[in-house]
Amino acid sequence: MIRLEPNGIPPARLSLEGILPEWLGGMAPADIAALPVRCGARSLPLGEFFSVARSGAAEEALVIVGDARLDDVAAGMTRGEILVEGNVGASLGRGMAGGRVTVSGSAEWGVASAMRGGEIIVRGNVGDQLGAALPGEQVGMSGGKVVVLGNAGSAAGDRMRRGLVVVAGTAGPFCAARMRAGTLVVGGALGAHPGIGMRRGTLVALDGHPPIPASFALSGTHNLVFARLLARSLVGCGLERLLPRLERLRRWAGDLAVGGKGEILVAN
Amino acid sequence: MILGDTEIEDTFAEAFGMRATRVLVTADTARWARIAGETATGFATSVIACGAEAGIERELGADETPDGRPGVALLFFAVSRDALAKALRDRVGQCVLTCPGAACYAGLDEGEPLPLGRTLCYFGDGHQRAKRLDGRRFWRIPVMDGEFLCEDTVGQRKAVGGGNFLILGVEGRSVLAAAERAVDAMRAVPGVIMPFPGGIVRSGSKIGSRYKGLVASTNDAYCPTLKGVVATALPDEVDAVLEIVVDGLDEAAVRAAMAAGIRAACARAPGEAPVVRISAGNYGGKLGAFQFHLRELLR
Repeated sequence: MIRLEPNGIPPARLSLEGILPEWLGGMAPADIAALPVRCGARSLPLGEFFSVARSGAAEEALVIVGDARLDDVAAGMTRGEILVEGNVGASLGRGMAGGRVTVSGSAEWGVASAMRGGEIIVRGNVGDQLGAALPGEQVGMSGGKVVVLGNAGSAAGDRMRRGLVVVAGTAGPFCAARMRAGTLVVGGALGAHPGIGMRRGTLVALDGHPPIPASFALSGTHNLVFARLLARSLVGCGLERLLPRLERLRRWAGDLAVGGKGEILVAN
Repeated sequence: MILGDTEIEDTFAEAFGMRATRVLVTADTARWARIAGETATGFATSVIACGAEAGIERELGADETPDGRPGVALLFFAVSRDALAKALRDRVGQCVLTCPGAACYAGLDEGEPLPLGRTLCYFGDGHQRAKRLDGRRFWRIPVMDGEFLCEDTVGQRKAVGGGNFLILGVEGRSVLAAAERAVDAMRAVPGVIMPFPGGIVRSGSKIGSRYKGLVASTNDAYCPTLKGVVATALPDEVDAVLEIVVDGLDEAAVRAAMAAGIRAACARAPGEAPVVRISAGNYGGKLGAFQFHLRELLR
C-alpha cells in the first residue's frame, strides 16, 4: 500500500492525473515522489506536495490524505483501489474504467464524468455534473457504479449513457436531464426539471414528491420485477431504509418531447 | 453382482455428448413458478422428436433466486448449440413469457452464451428496455400484467444425455413402485433431469425399424408380451420392464444419479415383489461417447 500525505495546502489546484495504484505498484517511494504533477499552470514533482510512504506488500492500493484542491483523483483508473481520507476536488474518477475509489469526505464538480467502469463511493456530498458528460462530449458516464451517501448538486446524470448512480440524499435541478440510458436512484428530494430531455434510462425518485415535468405521462402504478433486482444492487448504498419503497412504483414515461422511452419511477 | 434380492447385470448404459443450459424461472408464487417450469419443459422427453430434452432440476426458495421470489431451475439438453438456442428461445418465448408474473434468468455463466432476452425482446415492438445491473444485462419487455424480465444471454456447456437403466420385475405394480423410488432418489442429485413422464419411460427403443423412415422402434427384446416370439432378453419370471433415462450436466452427475436410482429401486418395500434384475440400454459401445457400467457404479 502506498500512502500520500500532503506537506501542506497546495498553492493552487493540483491535478493528480496519472497518480494511480496500477502504475505506482512496483515503484520505490523516491521514484513516486519524482513523478510530475500539474499545479496550476506548472508541472512539479509530486514530492513537492506529498510525503510518500509504502507499507506492506506491493499491492495495488493507494491512500491519499485528501484536500478540496486535489483534482482528477482516480482519473483514467483501470484497476486497483484508492482510498481518500477527507475531501477531493473536481473530476474524481473522470474517465475511470475499473477499480474502486472510496472518499470519506466530499467531492466537487464532475464526479464520474465520462466514467466507463469500476466503482466510486463518496461518503459526503458531490458537486454538479455527477456522472455527466465532459464539456463538448455527447454522452456522460457509460458504465460502472457510483454511490453518494450525501447530496448531489445540479445536473446529476446529465447525458448519462449507462451504469448505476445512487444518491442517498437530495439531488439538485436538472437531475437525469438529457439522459440517454442507465439508472439513477435518488433517495431524497429532487430539484426542478428532473429528467427533462431524457431519451431513455430510468430515474428512481424514492422521496415520493418530485416535480414531474409536463412532458411526462403517468403510466400507472406497478410492482416491477426489475425493481427487485435494483433493490438488491442498492444494498450497502445507504438506502436500506428506503428500499421497501421500491415495491410499488408510479411510472412516468418521458420525456415525450424527445421520444418518451425514458421513465421516472416514483415511490408510492 | 447381487444387491439385496436383485441381480445387477454385467452391462453398461451408453450415453451421448450433448449441449446443456440451465435457466431459473421465478414467479410471484411457487405454484406459478412450477406452472411456468412444467410448461416450458413439457413435450421434451427425447431429442428424437421434441428438439430438446428438458425438465425441472429442482424448486428454488425465494432466497435462492435473483429477484427474491420462488422459482424453479430448469435444465435443457440438445444435440448442438444451435438446436439448444432454438429450443430455449421457443420454449421460454411460448411458455415463460406468456406465464403470469414469470421472469427468466441465466443459471449457467460458462461457455459461448446463448441468446435469450436479446431475441425475445423484439416482442416488445420497440418498447423494450435493456438494463444492466451488477454486470448482468436484462430486458424489460412490456406485457399485459406489467413487464416480462428476461436475462440477455444464458451460458451453456458440454453435457451428457441418455444415461439409463432398466428395472426388470415380475409384475407391473412393483416395477412402477421401484421406478418411482429411483426417480425420487435421483431428483436429489444436482445437475440432472429425468426427461420422461414422471421420470420413467416404458417404451424403450432400439435403433431402426422394419418400416422405412422410422429411425427407432420398440425394443422388442425387452417387451414381455413378445417373449417366445422374438429373441428376448428377459428371464422367464419377468413380466414388466421400466426404464429411467437421465441427462446430466457432466459425467459425474449422471453417474451419481444412476447409482442413487439403482440403489433406491432395489430397496423394496415390505410385501412388494423384488426387482429381478437391473439392466441397461446400449448399442454395443459403438455410438455413445460415455459408458456407465452398472457394477462399477455400485462399487
